[in-house]
Amino acid sequence: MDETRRNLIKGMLTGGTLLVLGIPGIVQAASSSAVFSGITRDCHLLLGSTPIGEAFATGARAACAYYGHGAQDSLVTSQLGETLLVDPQYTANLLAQSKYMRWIAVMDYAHAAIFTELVRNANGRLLALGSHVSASNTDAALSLRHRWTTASPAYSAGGLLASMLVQNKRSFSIRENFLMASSHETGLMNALLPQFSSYGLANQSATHLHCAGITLPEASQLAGWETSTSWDSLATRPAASFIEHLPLGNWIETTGYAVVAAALGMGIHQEACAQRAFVHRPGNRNLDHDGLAGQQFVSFVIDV
Amino acid sequence: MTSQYIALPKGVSEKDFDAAIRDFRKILGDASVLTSAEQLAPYIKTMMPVPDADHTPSAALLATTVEQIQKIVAVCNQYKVPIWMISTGKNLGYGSAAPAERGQVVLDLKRMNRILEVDKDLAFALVEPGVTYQQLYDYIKEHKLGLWLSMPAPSAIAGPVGNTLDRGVGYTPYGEHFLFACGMEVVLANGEVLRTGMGSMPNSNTWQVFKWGYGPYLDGIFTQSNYGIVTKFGFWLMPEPPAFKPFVIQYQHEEDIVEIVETIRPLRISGVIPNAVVIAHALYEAPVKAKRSDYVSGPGSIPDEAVYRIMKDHKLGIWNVYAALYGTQEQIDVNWKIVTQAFGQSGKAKILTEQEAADDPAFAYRAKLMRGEMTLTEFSLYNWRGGGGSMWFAPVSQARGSETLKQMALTKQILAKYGLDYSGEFIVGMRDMHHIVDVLYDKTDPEQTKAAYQCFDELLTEFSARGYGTYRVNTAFMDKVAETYGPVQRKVHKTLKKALDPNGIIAPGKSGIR
Repeated sequence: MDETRRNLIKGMLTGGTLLVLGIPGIVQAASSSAVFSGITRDCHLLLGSTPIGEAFATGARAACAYYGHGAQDSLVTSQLGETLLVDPQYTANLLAQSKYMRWIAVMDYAHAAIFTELVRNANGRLLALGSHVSASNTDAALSLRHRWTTASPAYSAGGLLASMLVQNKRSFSIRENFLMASSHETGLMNALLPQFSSYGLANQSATHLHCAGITLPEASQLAGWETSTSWDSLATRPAASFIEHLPLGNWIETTGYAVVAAALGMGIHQEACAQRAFVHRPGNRNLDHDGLAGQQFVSFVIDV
Repeated sequence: MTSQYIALPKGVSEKDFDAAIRDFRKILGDASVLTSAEQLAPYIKTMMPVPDADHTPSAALLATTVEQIQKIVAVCNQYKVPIWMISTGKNLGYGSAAPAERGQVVLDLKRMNRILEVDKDLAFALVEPGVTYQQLYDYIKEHKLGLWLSMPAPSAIAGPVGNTLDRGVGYTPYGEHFLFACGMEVVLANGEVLRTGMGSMPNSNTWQVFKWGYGPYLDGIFTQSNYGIVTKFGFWLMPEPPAFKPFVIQYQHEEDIVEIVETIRPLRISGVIPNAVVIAHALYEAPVKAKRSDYVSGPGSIPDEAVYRIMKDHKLGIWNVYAALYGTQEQIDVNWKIVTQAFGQSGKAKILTEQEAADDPAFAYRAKLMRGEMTLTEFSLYNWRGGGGSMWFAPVSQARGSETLKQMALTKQILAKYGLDYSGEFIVGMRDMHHIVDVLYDKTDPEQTKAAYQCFDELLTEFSARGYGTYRVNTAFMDKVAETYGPVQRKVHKTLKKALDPNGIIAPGKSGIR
């Protein structure tokens, strides 16, 4: 097998792939950027197959405009559509070509299963992997569930999302697992969101639970712990309010906003812990039904 | 003090692990030893209903040569560091790329991706573990070799080595993949390199054409096992037939599975239908065409009434039998007559050929798989429930109608008890059936995740109590399944392990072997 020739062809193809997707060459790319570990990365939004792509993108662009360099269109957006199922090599080439980029990707579960594999093959760094589900059952205990596996609290979006959803009076659970709390994050203080009561797992203070409008045992269960789990009250300090009145219409836009704000390194409502959860249930749950019941998707933040 | 690693191997101190990592870096270079959370996160995601923390690796090593692997096992022996090998790492629904136990070091062989030989005349291939089906497919096309592959549903992104070593199946006449394996190169735990079969003899040119060699046949002990690291793998390819005729036969009632199997078995054993036929339930095919939420909301498994509506709306049978004929047009014409006569007898079967069903997305992807072409359409299953939870339940059944009906009914009953749907299919072997059920659940829902775990546990318990063995399972349940095969087999497995890998450095826990 002539590997040199294969790589040459791959290189030619990937250049073409980027152009077809409307992504300018890396050097010329003018987009929102994030700085981590001294490296500046251009952020790009990748919309895979999912009906919620445009709503997510609306929130993502709002975050970019708010925290980035001003213009909403500064977040370069690419449409993947169904190509992952039909031609995964197309996306593999895209990842292979896009060095020093931060991709924010959103897609359904079928495509996400493939995309995860392509990210690993491309030696991508997976900063945050989120699973977002709106219950199709209107009688569900909570209308929204968000689950994240995040490399470290520095990439956490859960606190910001909780602070926004609670303002919108949505019922939700957010669970975040952090693979590593590295040294530069240990300075993060436990920041109290004013609506929530905060607890630490007894004998394991690196696990935090914040709940509002719901009993502690029930919150514990809905976040994935046993109702009998023992929690201690957590000493917190009031958090600064970061939230402006944003023109975001629904939970998907809000999620897009939070994911991109975190990807841009805004560091809002983050804590030094190994895992944490927010659980909220408002008094009037009718507000939960915004016509988006049953929607679900996966979000990625990756560096390649 | 906080560890600089996201996990440590069981029983290994951070100091020793540091030393091992330093040695790995000397062997592979810094860039090929991954230890940061961001680098390891893509190895962690599983679809099992257990915390990802249970399967978090401590590091990943990207090896490219046999010599590097020999050096790596020496370091592992020195520091008692366990490694978990993956080739392309696509064991989706069986544990993905994550190790069986927390803290194991992933030995990722994806960069060992050379196609070493493809022989057009003798129709075999010799490849390294990182070769994907897509890569091999492209190579065969590029060189106009006139050979077909057999591959599982993750086709393009999976590879023949990992799939065959886990005894996976495909859908062509070569669908029982390990039947067509011929010769391996294996790095043993002591660093020695074994070539199985004829490969052990210097200057032999029959390594990929004669399986057995001399003395006890060894290849089998390197499948679903942790006795060595396979670094080269030979297997047979199917010559492209002059003609190919895929078809689907639909039935409307679940109990019709009895008639289907009784009709297929003689055709399969006699070779009239030569491929690994699939008998897919409507709910296995539905995700290609329908959304669950359009038919049902709320908790519980999908009711039969909704399944029948899906069938009606999307032109599915409750059972959809996908099969194909291969050979010359004359052979196909003769066999087609036999097939249509056999299935036509009861009047229950609806037989559709490519002419009638070509535009049907379910038929289209099944036809592709039966001719060894790439398609990832089956991934649509993951959208059925959503939430990212999936486990393959894979008991083996006799190819006997009454047995398949019993297995299906029992599976469906246990799934329903936990509010889960029966997304099942039977893959027809020569005399057996691989009963494959995707236990799909929403991993964002703690209650459903707990139910999925209990459900899977009960499936294994109830099936083994009736003598139905599971042929393959995810890493969270490997010990349980190993237990169902009895103490003597476990003891033999352990004895072999002790003899070949006394320090237990290679994939401890794989198939319940330590």
